[in-house]
Amino acid sequence: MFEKLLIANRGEIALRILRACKELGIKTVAAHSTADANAMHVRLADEAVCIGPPRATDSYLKIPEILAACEITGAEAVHPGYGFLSENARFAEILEAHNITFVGPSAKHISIMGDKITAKQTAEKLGIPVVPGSAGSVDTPEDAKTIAAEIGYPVLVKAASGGGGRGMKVAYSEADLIQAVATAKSEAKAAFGDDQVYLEKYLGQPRHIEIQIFGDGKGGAVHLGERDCSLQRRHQKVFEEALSPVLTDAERAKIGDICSKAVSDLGYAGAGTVEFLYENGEFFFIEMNTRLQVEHPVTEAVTGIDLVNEQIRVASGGPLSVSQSDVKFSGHAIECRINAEHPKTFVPSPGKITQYHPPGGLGVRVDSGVYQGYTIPPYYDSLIGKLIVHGKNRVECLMRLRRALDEYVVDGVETTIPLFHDLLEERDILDGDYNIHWLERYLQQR
Amino acid sequence: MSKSDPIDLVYLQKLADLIVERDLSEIEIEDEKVRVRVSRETATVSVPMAAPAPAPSPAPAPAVTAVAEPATAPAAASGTGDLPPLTSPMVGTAYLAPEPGAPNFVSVGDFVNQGQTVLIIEAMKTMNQIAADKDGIIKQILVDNAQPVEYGEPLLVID
Repeated sequence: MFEKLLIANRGEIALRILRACKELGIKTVAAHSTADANAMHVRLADEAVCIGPPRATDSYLKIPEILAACEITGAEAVHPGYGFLSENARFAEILEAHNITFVGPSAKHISIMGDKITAKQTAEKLGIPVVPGSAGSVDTPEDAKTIAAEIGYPVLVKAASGGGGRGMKVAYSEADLIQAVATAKSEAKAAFGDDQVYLEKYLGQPRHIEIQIFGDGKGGAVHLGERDCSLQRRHQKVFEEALSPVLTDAERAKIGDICSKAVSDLGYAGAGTVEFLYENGEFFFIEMNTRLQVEHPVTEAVTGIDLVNEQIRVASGGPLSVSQSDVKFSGHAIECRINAEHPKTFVPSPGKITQYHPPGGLGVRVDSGVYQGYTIPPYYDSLIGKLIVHGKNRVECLMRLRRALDEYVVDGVETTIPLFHDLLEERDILDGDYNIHWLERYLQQR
Repeated sequence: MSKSDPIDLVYLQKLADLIVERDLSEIEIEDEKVRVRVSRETATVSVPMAAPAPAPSPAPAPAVTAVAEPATAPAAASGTGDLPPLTSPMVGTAYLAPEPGAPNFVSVGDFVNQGQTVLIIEAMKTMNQIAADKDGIIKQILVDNAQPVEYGEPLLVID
C-alpha cells in the first residue's frame, strides 16, 4: 500500500480522494492552485504544494509541476480524480516513467477509449452492442452521404476526439448533412485539435444508462450495476439514479456481464464506466470513461462498496475486494448535482458562501468541499456539491430527497436547489419516465 | 434633519440590510425633506480573483517545508516589509549555488542586474535558472539551500 499519495485535482473530488486515503492510512499531498489555497481538502491534507496560478492550464493541467510536486514530497502515487488529467494518456505514461503510480488504467487503455472511433471499434470487437454508424472516420462528403443513407436519418456527426457530449451535430436529412459535417469538423479542430468525425444513428428518445465496472489489471473484473443519467442539461448530467427505474434484473445482469467480460478480456485495471444509450430494450455503446465518475456515490450507496478505496487498492497491486457473486444491490439512490448557478438562467454565480448548512439524517450524504465563509472561485466548474440520498426503494428515496432539499441552506450565491424542488413536483420524474431530452424540453417551457 | 423628523431607524436598518443582501457599497435616497446615504467599505473584487480573503481557521501544519500559504498578495509575504519579493514560478528544489561547493550566486548586499541569475530551481533533474526581475541590491534571501519550494513561494527581496 502506498505511504503517500498526491491528489491532482480540486473541489469535492479532491476531498473524496483525501477521505479514502486517510481511511487507508495513506499520507496525502494536496497539489493546488493559488485560487484553492483555502480549499477544504488543502486544509485537511498532510502536506500541500501550490503548483500554479488560478487558470487550470497553468496549474491543474501542468504535468511538470505536478511531477515536481511528487518529487519534493516523495509521493509514490497520484490520483487524478475526474476531468483535468484523469484521461490524459501522456500523463499516465510520464508518471510511470518516473516510477510514480497513476491511480487508473494503463496509458494504452486510456488512449484506446479516448479516441471515440477506436473505442467504438474496440467495444464492437469485445462484443459490446454499438450504435449503428460509420465503421471509422468519415472523410469526404460523398462517404458521409452514402453512410448516412445506410444508417438512416436522422444521423449524429460526432468528433473522434470529443466525448462528454461535446463536438456533436445532428443532421435530419441529406440537405443538412454536408453542412453538419463541415461545422462539426471545424469545431472539432478548434476544440480538440483533431477534425476527424464519424457518423452514428441519432436515437429518438433514448435513456442514458451507464455500467460501473472494475478491473484488477490481471483479467479479473466485476460490474457494479448501472446508473441512469438521462436528465442532462447541455449534455451535463444533473440528476442520477442507481439503479435505473426501467431495467429488470435480467437486463441488468445481461449487460453487466457483457461489460465485465469485455473489461476482463482487455486486462483493464481500475474503475471504468461503459456508457450506453438505451431504447426499446436495446443497449447502444456510446463511450467508455476510463476514470471515476462524478456520480459514483449512487453506486456506492446501493452496493456498499467504496469505489475510491477500491481504486487505490487495485493501483497498489491488490485484488478486487469483491467477486461478482458478492455484489448485491440494496435499495435505491439518487444524486443531485448542486451548482452555483441561477436556478432558471444557469448563469454562474461564484462568490462567498455566507451561510452553509447541509442536510443530514439517515440515508443522506453530501459530497462537497464547500463551507461557511468559503469563496467559490470563478475559474473552475460551478459545482457546490453533490447531494446523495439512499432509501429502501425509489419512493422512499424521493421522499427523503425532498426532505433533504428542504434542509439545505446555501446563502451568498445562487444555487440550483430550487430546480430540484421543481423537478420533484413533476409526474414524469416521480414515475421515472424520462429520457435524455426530457430536461431540456422541461427547461424550455419554464 | 430637523428635530420634528425623528430618524426612522427601521428604515435605515432596511437600507443597511439591502446593502448586504445585494452586495452594494452605497444607497442614497433623496426627497424634498431629507437625503439619506448609507454606505460601507467593500473589498473591491477585481477580475481575475487573485487573492481570496484568508480564512479564519489555521492552515494545516505539514511535515515538509512545502506549505500552502493562505493566498496573499506578494507584498504581504512575511518579513519583506513593503517590497514585493521575487517569487518562485515553479515547483522544485531551490539551490543557492550553481553546484555543490561553489560560491552562492548572490549574497545579501550584492548588487544585481535585471536578468542576472540569482538562484536555481531544480525539478526532475533539470536546472532552471531564476533571474532577478529588476536591478537592485539583495536585501534578503528567504530560502535555504536545497529547500523545496512551491509556486509563488517568496525567494528573495531586491531593493
